[in-house]
Amino acid sequence: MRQETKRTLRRFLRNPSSIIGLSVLIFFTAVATFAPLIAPPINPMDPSRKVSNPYIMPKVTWKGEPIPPSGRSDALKEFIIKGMQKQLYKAKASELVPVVKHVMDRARPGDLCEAYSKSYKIKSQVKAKLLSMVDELEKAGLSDPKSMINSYMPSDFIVVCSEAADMDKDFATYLKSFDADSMSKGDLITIIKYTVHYLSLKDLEKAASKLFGVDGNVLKWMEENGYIKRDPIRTVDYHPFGMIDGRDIMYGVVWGTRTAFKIGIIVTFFGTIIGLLVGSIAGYYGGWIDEVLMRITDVFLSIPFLVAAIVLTTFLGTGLDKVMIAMIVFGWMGTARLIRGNILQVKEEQYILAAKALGVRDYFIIMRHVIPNTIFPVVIQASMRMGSLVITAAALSFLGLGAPTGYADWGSILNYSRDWILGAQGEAFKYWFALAYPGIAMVLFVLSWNLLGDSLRDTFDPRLRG
Amino acid sequence: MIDVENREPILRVKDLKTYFYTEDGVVKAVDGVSFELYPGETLGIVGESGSGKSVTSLSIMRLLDERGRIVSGEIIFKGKDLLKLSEGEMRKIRGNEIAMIFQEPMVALNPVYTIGDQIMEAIILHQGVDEKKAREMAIDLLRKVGIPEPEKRVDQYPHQLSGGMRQRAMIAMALSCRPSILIADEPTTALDVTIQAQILDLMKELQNEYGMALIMITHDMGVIAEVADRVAVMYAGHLVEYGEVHEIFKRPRHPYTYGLLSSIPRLDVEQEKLKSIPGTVPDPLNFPTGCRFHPRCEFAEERCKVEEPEMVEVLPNHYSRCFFWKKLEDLEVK
Repeated sequence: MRQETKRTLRRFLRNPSSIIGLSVLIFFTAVATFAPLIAPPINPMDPSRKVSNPYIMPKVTWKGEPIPPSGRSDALKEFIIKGMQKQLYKAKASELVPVVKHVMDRARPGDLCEAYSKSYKIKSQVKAKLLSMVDELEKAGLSDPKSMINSYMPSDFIVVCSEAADMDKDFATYLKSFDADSMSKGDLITIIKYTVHYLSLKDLEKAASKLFGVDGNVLKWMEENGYIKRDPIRTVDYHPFGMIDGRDIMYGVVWGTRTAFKIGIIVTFFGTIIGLLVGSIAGYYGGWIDEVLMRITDVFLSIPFLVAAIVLTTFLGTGLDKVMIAMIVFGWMGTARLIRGNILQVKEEQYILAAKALGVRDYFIIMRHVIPNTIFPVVIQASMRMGSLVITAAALSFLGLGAPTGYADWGSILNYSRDWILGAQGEAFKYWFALAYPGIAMVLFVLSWNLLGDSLRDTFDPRLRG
Repeated sequence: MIDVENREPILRVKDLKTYFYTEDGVVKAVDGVSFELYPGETLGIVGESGSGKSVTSLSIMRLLDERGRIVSGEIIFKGKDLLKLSEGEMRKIRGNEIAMIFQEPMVALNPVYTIGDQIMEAIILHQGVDEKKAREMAIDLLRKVGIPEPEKRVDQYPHQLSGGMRQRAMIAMALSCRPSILIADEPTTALDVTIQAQILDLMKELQNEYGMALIMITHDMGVIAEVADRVAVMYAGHLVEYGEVHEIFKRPRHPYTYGLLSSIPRLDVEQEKLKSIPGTVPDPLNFPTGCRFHPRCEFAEERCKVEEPEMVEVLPNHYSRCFFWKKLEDLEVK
């Protein structure tokens, strides 16, 4: 490696902001690269069906769509259970009986143990039954089952109970044989509340239809009657970043990293190319060419960007690619002005004259002598723009001009959370996760590009070179 | 001494007129300059800043910026008129046949390339050798121009070299294709005095070795005395005196040359105060009528204000643009 390269590299790596910026960007690159592993594109309604476009965030739906037998969605279950809970307390005991019968029939016996541990009456019956089985349990390898059954801790009881249900068929039948008709309302509610989580989606749907007394598409009915709401929910186990509009926020943040890089790289690349072309032609040739090109630049600069983007998308239609076109068309002027100014300055340098005096062609003078002496400010500006473009794209998405519905894009997720920014009544931060995660990702992305651009300038600014 | 009479000049500039068209008007930077350059000799072009000496050299190279135009004249190099060549043909001459070095070695080298890269650029361009060979040649050239440790220096950037070293590197670059003419535009002005002498010695040495003709542009009569065989004195776009160096120094026949020579500090004569030429170079947009030097001339008469003098051969091969050159002869007799 050349001495100068080494020195530049050392100067770059000694700069704390370059280290921070670079490591955050490497992190984002890794997230973008391994997106399919971090957030696998799985259809939540039916894992066996393929997701046709992983950039469209898979959605949990409950309206109008039949749930296929293989369907498994923890979020959807969460929505159904939340909807059912309200009804549990409103319903009469007699209305709950068919639900409990269904639940006891479908739930695995071991899973029932948890529900039974919550009811004093049922628990004491099961306890007595278990105590009569102590010898058998001990033989099967359970250490000191007697004290565990009598333990104060409900978890101990649940362990022994489900173990027994697993090894003894008779005990399992016994667990399912409790008579729902003779239970109190409290016991009925307890059994439903603690077992529905273990049901398959299909069974849960059936339970809900029994509870509400609705035939056919109970989910549709629940939504229409206000039992299922689309408000953001957060289940730490399955959706640590939460869900909004039936879509996983983490999925959106992870795949949105790809979108952010895509927007940043494509728009910066083409914007810089156009700016470079216009600016260097204007700067190098000067005269009326310069005059015409720079006045065109002025015209483009005088149009407010958001208005221009709105007008352009009405012509082209919405979509991520259209937004990128708008950002390229109205985003090259800064580069053009920058490169023109630099070329005007470099053109007068004596080494250009010296190169001409050596008989070097115009083309080589531009490529070898002018561009290398003018390109660094452009590179630095481009790296700074990479970050800010993502904000612009997010602003357009927020206005509904950008990515299509459901596109994995940080701005789109923020667009969904628009209605939840203020939180719920009395709970200002109830839906914080809907804003925080995509917001943090965006801030870090922009910040790291800015830090990188800053340190590039520190490294390459000729005035700082010794 | 070069026998001027019997040799064919390698470069002949005839009545060269280079004007600049600016918003304020036409600047006649070079207004009818003629001179010859013979193989192996050194022509010194001397004059104050703004007298048109640099524009003359840029006109020969055809490197004027877009406002400058060569209005008339001929520049005959090896029998071809350079002004009639296409841009492509001219490029083959630049660097290869006529090379140039500049005043400011600090800014005449590109800061983003090593000096080796820049020397190799010219070699590869004109000699069509491969990179490895070009690099060897570049190291040889650096050694020749007296840069120590050329194998190491070849990979250094201009900012890592001192001013003298950079000028040596510039000379190496200019000599890379063994040009037959080297134009040196104030090559030593930006350097300090001890380095100046070294660079001038080096240039003389290389001139003898390569047998090339040298045009030395300077405002320093001391440099002229040291290297030039013949001298062309320029004032306000005109050649005012032209002849062999010892002739000019011994018998100046133009008041301007006389003034320049009198303003050199001398150790052999006792002087109370150093003489200087009063006034400044006239505004190139607005030259005085008649002789352009008359407002500053101590010998000027009424005729000088109205009538423009022509170049006359005052002595064999010694030309002056002055009506009253005889006055200077009288001064010498005294």
